[in-house]
Amino acid sequence: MAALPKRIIKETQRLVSDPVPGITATPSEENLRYFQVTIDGPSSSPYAKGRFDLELFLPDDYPMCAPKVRFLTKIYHPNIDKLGRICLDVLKDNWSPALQIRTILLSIQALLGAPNPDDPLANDVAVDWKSDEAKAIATAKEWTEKYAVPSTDSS
Amino acid sequence: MSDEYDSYESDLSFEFEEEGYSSEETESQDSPGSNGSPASESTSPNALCKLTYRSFPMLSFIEENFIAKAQDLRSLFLPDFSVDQLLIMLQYKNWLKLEVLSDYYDNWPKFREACGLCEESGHERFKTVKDFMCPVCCESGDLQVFSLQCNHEYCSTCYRTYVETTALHGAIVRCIEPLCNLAVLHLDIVSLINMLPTGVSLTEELQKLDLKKNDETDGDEKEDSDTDLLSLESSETNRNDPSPFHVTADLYFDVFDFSKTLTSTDGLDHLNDVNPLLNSPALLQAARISVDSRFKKFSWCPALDCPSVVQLETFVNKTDSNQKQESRLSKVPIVACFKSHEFCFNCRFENHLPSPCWLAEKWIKKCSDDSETLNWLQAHTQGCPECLALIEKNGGCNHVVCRKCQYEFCWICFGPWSEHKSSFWQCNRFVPEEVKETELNKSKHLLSLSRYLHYYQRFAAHQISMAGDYKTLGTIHAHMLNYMKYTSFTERNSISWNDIQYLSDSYKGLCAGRKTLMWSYAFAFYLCPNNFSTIFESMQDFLNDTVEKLSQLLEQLKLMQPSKTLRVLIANKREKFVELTALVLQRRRMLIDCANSGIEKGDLVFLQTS
Repeated sequence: MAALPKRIIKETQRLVSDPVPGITATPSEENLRYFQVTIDGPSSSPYAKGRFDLELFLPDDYPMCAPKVRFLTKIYHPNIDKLGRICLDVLKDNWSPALQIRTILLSIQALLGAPNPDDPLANDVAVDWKSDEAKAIATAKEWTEKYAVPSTDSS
Repeated sequence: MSDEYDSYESDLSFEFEEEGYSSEETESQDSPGSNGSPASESTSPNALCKLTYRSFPMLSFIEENFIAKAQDLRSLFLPDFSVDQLLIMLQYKNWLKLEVLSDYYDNWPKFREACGLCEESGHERFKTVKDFMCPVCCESGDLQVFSLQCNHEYCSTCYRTYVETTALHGAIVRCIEPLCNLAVLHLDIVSLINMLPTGVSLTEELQKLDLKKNDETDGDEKEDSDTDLLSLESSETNRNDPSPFHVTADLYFDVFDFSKTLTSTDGLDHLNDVNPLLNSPALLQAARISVDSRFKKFSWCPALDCPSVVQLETFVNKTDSNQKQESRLSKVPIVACFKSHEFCFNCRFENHLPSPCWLAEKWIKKCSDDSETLNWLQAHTQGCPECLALIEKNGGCNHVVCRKCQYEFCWICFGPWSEHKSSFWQCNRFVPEEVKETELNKSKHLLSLSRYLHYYQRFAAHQISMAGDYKTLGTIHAHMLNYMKYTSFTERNSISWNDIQYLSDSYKGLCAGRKTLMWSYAFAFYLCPNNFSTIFESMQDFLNDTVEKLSQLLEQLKLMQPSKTLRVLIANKREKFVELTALVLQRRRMLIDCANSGIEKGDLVFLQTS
């Protein structure tokens, strides 16, 4: 594999030395372009108290193209499908090389706080969300409890 | 005829409406370029089809549709702006002049903001900054940086890569800074692309550029007959490139390269020199999108690496798969690009006469059935409901925007996305009829397999022969070149290219004959056996016979060694060649006419298989 670009080294150093509150990103030992990520659910959201595992990969042409990010923990969210794929503008068309891993992860955290059922990825979830928001939020809480709260997750 | 005209008119106005055109504007805009580009009106090579169109190189398309519009705006309405700025405005407004004007007069500050333009203030775009750390690559030191008027500085190498990457999206390229809307003008894009990377000497870079330029224009102009067939090898390796015109197009079109040797004046040289804007990859990509999204009127030449665009002057009603099968051959809109590659505007595929479009389409599908690629495509992709481009969903939302024609639709029900604003989930309905239908088709396919193989083998044989003919011609060509080089030193009395022009003509005739034969097998496959189909088959035999004779003649030339006698031999064979070529073309025409009249009179009937 080609040498790691300076940009990735710098970003990694900063992620470790100056972590974002509520977010961790650890590069894998075998592949420094592969990160294990955790994001804490925003406190005001149905995902509060949950800690969600994600994986993040920096493709060869990073930073000219966006990192690839995916949820590993099951989550009930209209913009995240059951494979963990995320529908987020900055991961697609609105990516700019001036954005960073940390800004992307913050955007994802913000997405947890502000689900957008009008531009859904998980159709079934979006349907629930639009027809009965209270129930959907309850389900989201339930799933968070079941899959993302650390004590039950450790099994 | 009259209702044909009507439908042409009505559909045209529909299209204009859709694109915000007024018919007045289109007329003034789409008129042929004044630069003498080879864009005069042509009539269809399909003698049965009344059709006019123009064909021109891609760069002329950019000049006519983009740059000329900007220049018009500048000289008539907005003299304060540079062509480059007007290009951005036009691009933002989807190349509609009137929309630019209306937005300009409506609310200029808002429009300017949306386009990402700003006052020209003599801002120095490239400069070297001491101890600069580029936020993108994190390199630091005394770096050359690039910035727009917004002063968002990034090292010029990163900017260049960024521009190259983003240009592929075909949208306006904007400042790297995420929230900065400022547009990178096309001339800036060109200077970034042509920029010298630090540490590379000028001569080295110039050589590279030269090479690159040669590469790019490789398919366009080969004035030098020397280089043409020598590059035969390289063009053959290109064949592995995936072409949307799977079955035969690539082979067929490669073959025609020979004609360029003897008749090539593209007029592309001067275009490249005159306007640096034409080097902007972003403009090139915008042109691609523009052509693709107006596919009812424009088409790329489907030939491999052929840079030409065909613009219809007559409207062609795209045959819908839901409509009744249109079998009349007078409805097959064959056009030829300015490099004389013949193709069907309807199918965007090679000239498939005597087969009607639906038959050709069916046949192509059938032929690709066996290939794993198609299986994969069927399993993993769906055609865009508007332009039929195959789309693979690589994650993301079900709100899909076709890269090619920019049509927005729902991945689940394939309806337009505009209808999905508030009821996106209602398209999840199961339709049992569709499932049954596909199952039925599959079993029918198995039954006709052996019959199909019979015709396919003949179809494919000609396709392979065509490649063989091409190789033969290459060898002959090489002989000729050597011979001519040799004789030009020793004697004045050598043959000129004019003397062997007939070889190229014969070769074209041979290809045309083989092509028609190929498609006549596809045609025969779908034909009900009766007395008339027997007649058709005997005409097929005639053509086949002549084609093989001509091919053999070519083969004989190959075996000759270059020597003084070659000239004599070539002169002697000339008559034979011309005669056989004429015969091939005549029999080809007869075969097509026979098919046409058979269909029109109802003597030839198609099988109702799938």
